[in-house]
Amino acid sequence: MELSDKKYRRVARWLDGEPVELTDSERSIAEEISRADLDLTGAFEVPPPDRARERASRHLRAALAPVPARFIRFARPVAGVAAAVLLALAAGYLLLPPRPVSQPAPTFTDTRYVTDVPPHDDANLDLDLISFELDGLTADIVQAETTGTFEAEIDSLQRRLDGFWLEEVEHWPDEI
Amino acid sequence: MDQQQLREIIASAKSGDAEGYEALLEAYGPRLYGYFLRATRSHHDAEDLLSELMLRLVRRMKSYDERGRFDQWLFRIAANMVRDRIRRIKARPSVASLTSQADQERSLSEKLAGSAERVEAGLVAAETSDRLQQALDRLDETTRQMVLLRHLGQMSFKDLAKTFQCPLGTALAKVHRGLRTLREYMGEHYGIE
Repeated sequence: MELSDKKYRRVARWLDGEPVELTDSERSIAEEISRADLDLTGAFEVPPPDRARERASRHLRAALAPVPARFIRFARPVAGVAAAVLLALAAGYLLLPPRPVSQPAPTFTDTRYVTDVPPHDDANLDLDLISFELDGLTADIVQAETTGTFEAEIDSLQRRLDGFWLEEVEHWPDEI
Repeated sequence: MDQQQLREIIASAKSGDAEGYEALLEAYGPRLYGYFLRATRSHHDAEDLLSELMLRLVRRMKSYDERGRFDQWLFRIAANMVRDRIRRIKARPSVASLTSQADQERSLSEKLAGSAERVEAGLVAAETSDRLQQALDRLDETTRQMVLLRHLGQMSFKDLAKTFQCPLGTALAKVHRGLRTLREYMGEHYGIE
């Protein structure tokens, strides 16, 4: 037996617990559905397999884990991979046959430096030194004007200046 | 589980306690898995959906209004997930559907069965031995969902009408016809009245 939409609506409301006065035909349908509800109790249930339960539980705990724990969980496999790579590199280094010993690179010498440094860099260095010395001399002159005989100091400074140039020449390498 | 126990478990879950969620999984697992399995007819999909539901539960638990019924709230989420999954299965291109017009006109339940067979033939073969599942297979998709949600989710007809966006009378009419079809099939094939 089937009912009109209006009667079905009244039965639905009654089955949902609302106070509705049903006719005999409506009551018959309501009882049929209530009986089916009872007969089918638990019939559709299926216990999840262990695998499904464990997976759901795992996802649950992952979602509830605080952020640092999540970071650690992410970092752990990354650290594992990094450790494995390092181990492989170390093993390769230790296990591979040693390379033939090559001649060590020549040690640093002044000669090598002079020959390796471009000439203009060398000239710049000299100019810097001269400038530094001239600054020093200027300072000495200023001081001499205030403390001693001007002429004598001029002579002394002239000698020092000459000495500076001669000293620089003496230290120049022979191989330029 | 009585209502008091359920309230305590829900409160525990709402406070972020994993034990609370585990208890919910324990209590509702068979009903949820049964719903997912019978709606999708695939253990693989049912397992996916169960895991996904637990994640959604964690995200949405705070929004649960304790004045409402938890079963109905939970199964409404589950019903939405099944609906999305079925849409995806329908949208999934299949070799068979490109080869014949007849195949494109198959019912959703047949398409679902086809997909499930391709994915997990062994499990579905075992599942089809379930006489109740065979009876459910005879129902159209909406009616099957309504019957399952009525019995597993304890949904009222008002909730069913709201979930499936149909008039209240239509929801009851579908469930009534569905239950009658199930009873007839079970009686016809297995002598169960």
